[in-house]
Amino acid sequence: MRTLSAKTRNLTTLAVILLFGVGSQFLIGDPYVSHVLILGGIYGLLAIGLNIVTGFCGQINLGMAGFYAIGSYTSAILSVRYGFGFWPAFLISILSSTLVGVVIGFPALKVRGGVYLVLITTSFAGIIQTVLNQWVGLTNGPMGIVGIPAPSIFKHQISTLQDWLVLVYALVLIAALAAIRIERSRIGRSLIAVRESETSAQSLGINLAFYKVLAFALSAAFAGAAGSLYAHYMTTISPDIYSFSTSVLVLMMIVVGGVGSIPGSIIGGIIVSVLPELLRPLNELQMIVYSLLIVLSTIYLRKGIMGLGIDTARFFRRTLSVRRNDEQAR
Amino acid sequence: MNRPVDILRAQNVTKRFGGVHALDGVDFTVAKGEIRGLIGPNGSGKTTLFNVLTGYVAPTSGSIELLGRSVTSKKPHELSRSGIARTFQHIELFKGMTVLENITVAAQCRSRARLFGVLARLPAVNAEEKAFKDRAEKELIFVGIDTLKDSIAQDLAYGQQRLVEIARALATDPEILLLDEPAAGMNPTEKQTLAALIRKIRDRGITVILIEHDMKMVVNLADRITVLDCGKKLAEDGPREIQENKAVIEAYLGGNIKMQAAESKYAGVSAGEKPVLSLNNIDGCYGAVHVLKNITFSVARGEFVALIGANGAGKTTLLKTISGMLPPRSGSIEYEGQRIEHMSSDRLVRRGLVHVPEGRGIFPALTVRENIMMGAFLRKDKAGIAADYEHVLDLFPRLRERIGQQGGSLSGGEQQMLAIARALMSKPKLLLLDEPSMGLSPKLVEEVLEVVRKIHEEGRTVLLVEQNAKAALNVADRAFVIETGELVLEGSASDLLHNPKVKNAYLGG
Amino acid sequence: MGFLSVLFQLIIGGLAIGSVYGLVALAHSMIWSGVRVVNFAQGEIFMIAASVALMFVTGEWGQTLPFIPSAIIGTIVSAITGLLIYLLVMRPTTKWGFLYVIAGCVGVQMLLQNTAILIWGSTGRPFPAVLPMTPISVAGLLIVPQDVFILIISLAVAGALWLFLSKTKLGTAMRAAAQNRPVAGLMGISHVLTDGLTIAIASAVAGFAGILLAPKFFVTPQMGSLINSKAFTAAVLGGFGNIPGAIIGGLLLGVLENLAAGFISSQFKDAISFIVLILIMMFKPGGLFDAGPGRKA
Repeated sequence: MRTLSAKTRNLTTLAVILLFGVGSQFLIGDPYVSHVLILGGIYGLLAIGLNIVTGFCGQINLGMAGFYAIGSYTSAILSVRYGFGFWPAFLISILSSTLVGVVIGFPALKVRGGVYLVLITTSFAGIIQTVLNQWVGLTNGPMGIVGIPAPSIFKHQISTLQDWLVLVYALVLIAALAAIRIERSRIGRSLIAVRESETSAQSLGINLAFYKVLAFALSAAFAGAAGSLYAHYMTTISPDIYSFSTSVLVLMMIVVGGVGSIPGSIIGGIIVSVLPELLRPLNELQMIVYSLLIVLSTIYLRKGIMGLGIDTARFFRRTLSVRRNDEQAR
Repeated sequence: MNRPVDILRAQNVTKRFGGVHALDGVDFTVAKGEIRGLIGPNGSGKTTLFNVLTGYVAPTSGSIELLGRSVTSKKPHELSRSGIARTFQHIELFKGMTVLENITVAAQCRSRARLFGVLARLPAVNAEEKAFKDRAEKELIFVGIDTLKDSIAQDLAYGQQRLVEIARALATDPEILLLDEPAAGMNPTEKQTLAALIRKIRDRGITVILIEHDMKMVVNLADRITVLDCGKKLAEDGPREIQENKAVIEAYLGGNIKMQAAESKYAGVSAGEKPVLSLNNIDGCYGAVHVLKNITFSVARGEFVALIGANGAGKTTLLKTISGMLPPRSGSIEYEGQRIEHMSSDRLVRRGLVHVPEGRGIFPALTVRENIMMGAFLRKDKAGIAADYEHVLDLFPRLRERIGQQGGSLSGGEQQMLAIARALMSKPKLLLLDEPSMGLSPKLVEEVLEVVRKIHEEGRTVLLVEQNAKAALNVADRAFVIETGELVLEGSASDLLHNPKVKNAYLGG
Repeated sequence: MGFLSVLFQLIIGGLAIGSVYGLVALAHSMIWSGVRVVNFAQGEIFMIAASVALMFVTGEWGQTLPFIPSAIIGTIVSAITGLLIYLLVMRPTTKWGFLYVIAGCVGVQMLLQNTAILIWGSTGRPFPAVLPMTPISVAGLLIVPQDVFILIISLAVAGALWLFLSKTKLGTAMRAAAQNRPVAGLMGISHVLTDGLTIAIASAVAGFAGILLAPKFFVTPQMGSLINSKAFTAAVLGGFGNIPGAIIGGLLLGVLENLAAGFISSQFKDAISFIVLILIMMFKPGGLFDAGPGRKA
């Protein structure tokens, strides 16, 4: 997805998303829509994380739910049980998640092939979920944690949905800019090189182990941030949220949005959150149509929405320039 | 005049894969500023040596020194940071990236990740990023492909991709550059450009080690040539000396074969009789590489024709094109009067065109019996199959002894016999054999080719592809010589056996 | 009840479930070794077969059929479903990389599960047992006849499959194609035939496994997801692609799980398969019977 005007395209798309996310609160004002969009933003953070490890670096990670959970529970426990403020809890959540990401990165190095990577990351997430359910002393078990306090910025408590929209999308913006910055730097190039050809990458001085672990760590960081936000937004969390289906959901987000595209991650996150709601009028057919759309989009819309957008733009540019040339020739 | 400094010193390098010695006690020392050629027949260990020198494969024993410092067990990325760069036999560019981006990855070879600096957009980091891009552009200009800098790598033609790969290796600021078959699939013009580039690289102060099958090219470029055979160093000398070296010639063309050249019963296709197989202007590609160029020849019914040539000449691709495994890019093939160039293998087998593939291709976990019976997969005549089965085991008594063993546990020679036995079960009228002598001792080669001769005498047409020229010419009636994808010589086997031009086709000159 | 008889019961029960894991694992390994793809929706085929068979056994569709014809219909439906999934989803996505295969298969999973919910509702329905579910006493030990039935039939199916693959021309041809695809083509073995047969047979086996296990648990639309990860672990345990290994892996896993449930706690049961998986991946990624580096397609 790299062309001459990639930078412009990325920034434009981001601007559009943010306008959509934040501006919609004024246009629509429906609390339910706002809720869905807030979730969409949080999902977007997850999707950015997955895109870094799977989209850029090519390492399939089906354990995002595990990092998500670590972020949520760290933040929840610190703020509910130890009275930490939101921002310290938020940062420590990111840190703890990242640390675990590094730890997972190492066994992931040893296995060769997509199947095995899937199995290891899935097992990791499965173990996390089991621990959440079993270690009642720490996590309150299946009952979950309630009463997670809302954040406050500069003495202003985040209480209304509008506040949350602004907070979430502001963080999404920062995250996206950071991810794009990484993508266009030497780090991004190295990650992508690892995905495209490990053999060549090594011959050019790239330390495979370092970059693969880095990729996992970065994805965990974003997921941890998302987890923390989620916990404070929903105010209650329980282990069943952090299941394999959630990891799979994140995968759907990047496939739908466009694998390897940061704006696509956000679009994918929003779509995955919004689409089931749009289909609600269909009653029993809701989930069937939803899953059918997912399957169709995987097969026919391989490059995701962003890919579709880029191809359409390219098509128009070409047709327009051909027409211009024709006119000039006459 | 300064005494040449040794830039690379590999001593007593041995690499064992299971029971096979890919490299056996090889000493390899290269002086700074040299262009060194590394040649040898198929399977001699050249790429394994490259892999050991660049850290992809750990040697079983031996030591490697770069500019006096030991680098023996270092990983590939550490070695490239120390100044060893390489290209690969199969080009692996970063396909989705532009050419400039590909090379920029290389230019950042020795830099550190600096995550914080990247995120905070520190000026030092930004300056480095600019330096990478500048370096990348400089290499593009040096190699001569700066017009391509914004093209996506996978859209480029094969020859251009090769040049990008070389520019990429150069951007790592190497002391030594290892090139693995860079000229494969290039046309003569591209090869000339490549040769000029390699000289330019050397003039820049970079030492070059070159694996190549195009002998003319190596002989003209290299200062010295090292020859490997069966994992051992066979000779190391200047180019002209290597071309005259008896041991080298024998390694390539085969020697020590005690067979009598058979009296040729045929002198080509007799007037009026249609050939059983004829190829017309066949052009073939293997992946992106243009391997076969304008091949035209024919084989008469009952003839035994050999197709000989050096490694990489296109022999296997040619057989695969005939037997339906690969489609030709253009041209036509006729078999028994029918056009077959787009027919699939199984339809051809039904018509009696049977291919014994390179590397035997037996089914390792099936027993000898099961392997043989798979050859009869398409047949329905139970009595005929049973009779042929017995006949085949009579031809190869050693297989009868091992009838219940798994195919993969047989020795190389036995596997070759199994592959031929299996092919016979398909009732071939035309039998294609791809390098049956590969990896076999001279005695086994004799045995196998004796059987092939018997099969021929039973009335079948045989097209034998071989690297071992002497062995092939001893059993065939007529032969063609193929060199870098083109037919360059033709004649009766006994004539070619004594024709010095055959040696030239293998060793340049 | 002495310690030994408890142990024995746990082992038999574990073997019964394990044999079913083994059959689904066998399906995975067979498809992997023959066609080099992984169908992540295999568990849903398991579920569909059980649901369809249940439909006929209880007469939902009008006709009430005895166990055997219902089982046959369920098995045929699974073969067809498996082929459809392969042709429509797995073939196109395999070209683009594993990520897309998973995404596609997961979409199929969701689709099949939700379709099942639509047709049959999301509550579990019991499947009438073929043999009694209550334990009977044999030589002082308690045995559940249904368990023994499951174990014997599973092993019989695995045995029949083994016979087919090793003794018949077609089966040998399928093995040949799995070992060296291009050369098999040179023998006239069409890979359309071998791929299609592999998928159909493997899916049928997975479906049949679902029908076998159905009486022990309720038939729900979610039963496939549960079996999926267990079957995967069993397949990895035996070596992914190793067909007899899959059965052994399944049996082993079933017994380990049951022992853990009996002696430690029932929650630990599910964690066992994760732990086993990680241990195998880290120490013996080729499976317990690792015979060396795998063949590349």
